[in-house]
Amino acid sequence: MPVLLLERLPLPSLEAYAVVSVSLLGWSLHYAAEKTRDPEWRMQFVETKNISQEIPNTFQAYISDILSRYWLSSRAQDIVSFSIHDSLCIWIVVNMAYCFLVLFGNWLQKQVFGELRVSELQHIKDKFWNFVFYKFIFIFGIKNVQSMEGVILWGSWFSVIGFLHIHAQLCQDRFEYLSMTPCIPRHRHFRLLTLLGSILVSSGLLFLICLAVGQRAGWVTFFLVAPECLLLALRTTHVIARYILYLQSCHPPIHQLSQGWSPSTYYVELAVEISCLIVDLAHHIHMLLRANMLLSMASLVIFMQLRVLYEQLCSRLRRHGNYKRLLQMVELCCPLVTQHFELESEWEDNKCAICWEAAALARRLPCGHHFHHGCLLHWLEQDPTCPTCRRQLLEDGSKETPPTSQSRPRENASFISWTGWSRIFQQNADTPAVAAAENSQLESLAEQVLQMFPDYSFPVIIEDLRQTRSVDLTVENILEGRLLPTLPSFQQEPSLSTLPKIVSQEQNPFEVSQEPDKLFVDDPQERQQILQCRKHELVEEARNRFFQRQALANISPNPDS
Amino acid sequence: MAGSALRRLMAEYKQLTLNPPEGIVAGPINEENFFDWECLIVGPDGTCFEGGVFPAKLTFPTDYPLSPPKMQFTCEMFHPNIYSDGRVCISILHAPGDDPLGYESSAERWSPVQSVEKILLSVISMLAEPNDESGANIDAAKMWRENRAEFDRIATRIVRKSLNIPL
Repeated sequence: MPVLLLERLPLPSLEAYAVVSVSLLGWSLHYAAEKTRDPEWRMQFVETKNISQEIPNTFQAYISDILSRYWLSSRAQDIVSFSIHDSLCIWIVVNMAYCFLVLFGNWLQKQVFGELRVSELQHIKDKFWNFVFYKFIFIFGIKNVQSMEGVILWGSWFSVIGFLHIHAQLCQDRFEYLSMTPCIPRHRHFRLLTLLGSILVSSGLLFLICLAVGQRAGWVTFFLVAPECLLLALRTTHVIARYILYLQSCHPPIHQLSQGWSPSTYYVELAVEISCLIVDLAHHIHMLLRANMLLSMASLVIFMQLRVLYEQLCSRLRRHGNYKRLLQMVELCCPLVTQHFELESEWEDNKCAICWEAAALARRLPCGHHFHHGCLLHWLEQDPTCPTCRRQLLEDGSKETPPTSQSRPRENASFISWTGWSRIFQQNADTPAVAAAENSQLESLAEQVLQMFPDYSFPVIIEDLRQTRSVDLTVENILEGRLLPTLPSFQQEPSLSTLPKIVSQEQNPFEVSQEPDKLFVDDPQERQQILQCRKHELVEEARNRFFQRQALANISPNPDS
Repeated sequence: MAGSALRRLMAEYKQLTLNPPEGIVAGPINEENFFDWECLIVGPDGTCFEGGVFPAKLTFPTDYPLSPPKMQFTCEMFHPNIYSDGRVCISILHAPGDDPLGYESSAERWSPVQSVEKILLSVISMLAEPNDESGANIDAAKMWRENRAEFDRIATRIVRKSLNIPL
């Protein structure tokens, strides 16, 4: 792998590179100054100047023209023209330009991104080498540039484009990373957005340059260079649009009817993606046609790329078709309903089970479950079933699969009893009426169990029934010894339960307030600390219980062992 | 989507903090990245993993809850449904599309109504009742079936190790 090889090369540090570049430039200026003092050179130069004035369209002539017209004394003019004409000096100048670009990039990175993450670094490295590879193919395979000035011109053009592309990619990666973090200081968003904005403006400027070049050098060149700017602008716009939407979604207005999605967002996304692909595709087709020899290595590479792009475009269009079909189906069989709830009264039904946010306006599936329109569509794109009960939706409800949901709660209940702790499901006991009805039902069930196992206490049975919701399961639990006749021992035996408390107080470095409201605070650092504390407590408690068990085992050794 | 994923994870974190199920502590490793969590699971009572505290890492995709997170134990584990590198293989963590072992019905798979809490409770029940049909760790599955005493011995060692108690 060439990339791997390059990573192992002992590349100089940035400072060393900058120092070397500057000293090289100094040397070349000195060299040029020495040379231009030579009268022989002047004579030669005047001759070539006369020739080049006859053919005014060359690059050097153009630059000399600009220089003489604007800002330089004749001495400096000489030096610059020498540097341009001398093949060694021009490479030193180009190197200096790259050095500036790298330094600028480094400064930008420090200002906007800070330390790059490993994945970001890897991503831009891949992107960079990919870009270099394709542009190499373009310059030498398709344009077949042979003169030095051509190489320099194309090289500097693609360097600028590549520089912007890489920073756009970096912005995108960083935006995706930032969107995973809940509390980001505003200035970081601001800096990133500023950079994105300047990339967009730069791509606009480059497009204008393309237009100017197109007017001078023909529209063929324009169509070869302009798509790059267009793609850059499109991708940057895409990231900016996503960014703005993200920022909006982070601070949703309180009284907005949250749908979790809006059709315009989807269509903007679709339009940008499709137009990016189409521009890229057209660009590649154009390159293929412009290739000097149709049967060459370069054409093969372009052709492969073309195939990938075509497949991407097809799959995107297929996805869109699929999406349209789903949308139609959802609109047909899942009516949009408005729900009126007293806030926080019924926590499960009040919220969309996918995003856990309030759903004032929701789609009702044929099976009676409610979801946000957007959340539902996103899920159905993956799997056309109801997320809650798994009923198939695609066949318009005609293919009735037996609801498998009923096994789910019981499944939960049975494994919770395995965990050995009593955990009460409170969702169902929220409203007093339901709770009362349930309690009387539970009591009658518990009495049935009590008749079979009189040595078990009433609250223990009630507790277990609350989880199992079935006499049979509770009886099974009792028979298999999962249920103890009294409440769990470590809560009842004072001699043992006092021990962990003392130990945990001694070893616990932080004081955690046990009030549930205070456990989840707004400050991320404090929250983090509380979490660490809770982890620590859990481990300590487990250790203590382990020692207790060992002590118990030692007191009453098992006759089997 | 990342915005809504973040809000949902925050809601789950809040719920797990305010109403923690017994034997489970879970939360982001670092508040800077809400998509990597660490959780501690206490081995269920009455099983060979009783009392151990097992740390695991949960990695959420950016389109969570549409796609399931990945779970990997970061301590030593020996269990029929846990790969030797700690990755957990249970049906609730598999997206409806993929079926690596070809035996699960889609009803058991991931769905966005599942949550971290449900995953962790499922993992606890998995610790209690290994499913030896889907062997992620063939050695463990074989030992579970054929040599339960040896399996229990290894499990006890793992429990002690997880609690940092020397044998």
